[in-house]
Amino acid sequence: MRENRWKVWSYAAVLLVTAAITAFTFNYLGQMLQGAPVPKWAQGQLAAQLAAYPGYAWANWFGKNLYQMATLYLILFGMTAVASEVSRRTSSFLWSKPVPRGTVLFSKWLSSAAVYAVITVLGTLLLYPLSLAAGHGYAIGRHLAALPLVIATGLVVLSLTYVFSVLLDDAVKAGGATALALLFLSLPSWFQKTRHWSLFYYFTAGPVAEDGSPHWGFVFLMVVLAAAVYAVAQRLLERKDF
Amino acid sequence: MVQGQAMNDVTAPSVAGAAATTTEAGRSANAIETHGLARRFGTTEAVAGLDLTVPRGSVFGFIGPNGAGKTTTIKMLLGLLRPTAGRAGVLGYDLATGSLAARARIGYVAENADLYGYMRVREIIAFTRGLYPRWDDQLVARYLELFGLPKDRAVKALSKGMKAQLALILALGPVPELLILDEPTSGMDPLARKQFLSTILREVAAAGQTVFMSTHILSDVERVADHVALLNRGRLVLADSMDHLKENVKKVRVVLAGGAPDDLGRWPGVRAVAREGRGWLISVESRLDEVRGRLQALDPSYLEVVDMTLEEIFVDYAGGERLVLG
Repeated sequence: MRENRWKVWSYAAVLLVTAAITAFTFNYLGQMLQGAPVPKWAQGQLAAQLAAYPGYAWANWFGKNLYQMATLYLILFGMTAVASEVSRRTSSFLWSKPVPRGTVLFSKWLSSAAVYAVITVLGTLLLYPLSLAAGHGYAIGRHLAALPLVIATGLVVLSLTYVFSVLLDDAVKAGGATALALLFLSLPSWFQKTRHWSLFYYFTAGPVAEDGSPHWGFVFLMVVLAAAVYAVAQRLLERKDF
Repeated sequence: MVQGQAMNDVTAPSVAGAAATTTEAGRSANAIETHGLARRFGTTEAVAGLDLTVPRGSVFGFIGPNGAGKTTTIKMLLGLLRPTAGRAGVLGYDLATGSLAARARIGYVAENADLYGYMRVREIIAFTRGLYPRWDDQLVARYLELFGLPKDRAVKALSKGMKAQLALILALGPVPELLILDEPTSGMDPLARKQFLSTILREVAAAGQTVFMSTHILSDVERVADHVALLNRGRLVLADSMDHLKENVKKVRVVLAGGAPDDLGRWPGVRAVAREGRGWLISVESRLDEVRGRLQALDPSYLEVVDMTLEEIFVDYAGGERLVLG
């Protein structure tokens, strides 16, 4: 995890800044956009977001910034897991030790998952006092209800990154391949009728936005999916030649 | 051929037989046994039907030109690469089933000693310590002092020689029964090489641990090894004890007025015969006295037994191809 320190701190810093911007820009955004040339298709959505802070906070935090930042950092966390051991030629050192490959991989995955979960929770919690400081309130319970689904879906992204990190011996290529795979997985979200089939519908806590319930069934589904994808990564690693 | 008749044309033991000799962990008399071990990369046969026996307690030089298959063999012994055929046993463990247990008893120094550059020396020691079931802190501290390695320096700031020394310390920390070194002195200056090899001889071999050292630097092998094997193009072309090799592998230069007997090349102990000017140059790999006696009975006008250096022996056995030598 030490090699990932800069990623951990920068993820935490980015979420802190994002939370602060979300809380403190609401009052000014409406004024800034008055008279600005907003496309007709976006006018309704924008007006709805700016009508009240709770909707604005939700849309900016869960609907936009959090999943984007989380996706980026989960790829950054995961892409180096195995690929970097090969590219910096430490794989012979690591994998010749009397520790099962699966144990090493899982400890790497678990530390990244834990860091991601803790920072995501802390960032989401931080948004509340920052919003209060900016003079806005919202129902924090709804935000807390969204966290399990967001975190569980993030684990799928992390596991997917691990698959590519095992497959490709270059971390940048592994990251790029993951990004392409995620782009493919996001395709259903481009259409209203198929959005439920997109991973990002769950990563943006779509079901929670609709009724405020944590949707434990979907959380369970995402955890199972993350475990299945991780199992693929582990299986590939067990068979990999170094 | 004291060590396992390792030539490829020697009939290999059956795979079933190999398994039988390597499943009883810890009881094998040999540190390493391979039977028909092979690895193919696409159409390239990196290692082909390798039958190798490394006795416990030996310092074994595993030599060959670059690309001979030495590193591939070592990686298979460590479970880093899967063989495409054959079997291998290390310290009595069949690698197909007991690689993990074997690795707990193996210390390994990889070629170029690539370690985690962002860690400090004491951090990588602590990290490696956590990966082994046993660890000798006193031994590690002693070697750190011996090599003068600064504990708080980042690994990336160490010189190549210091990295190799650190890699050796990390390999010795778990008090391995078998130390595998892959081109350990590559890129070191002569002084560092000498110190590194002296340490191996003085500390490791003297303690009865087996050392399996891959190198293309023959002077290193001559300095420390008591057994040697030559790999060329993935095939084992020679395996023997160093003493037996130097005592028995010779060239005999002979001029015979009546010409050489037709069956000279088939005499026991004669490996090859080549015409040289008016005479013949005979490569002898065993039974030197017997060969010399038979030649003298032919009343030669000239007979000379020529000692061969290790380099000459291996160039000769490698089929005339020059090895990359240090």
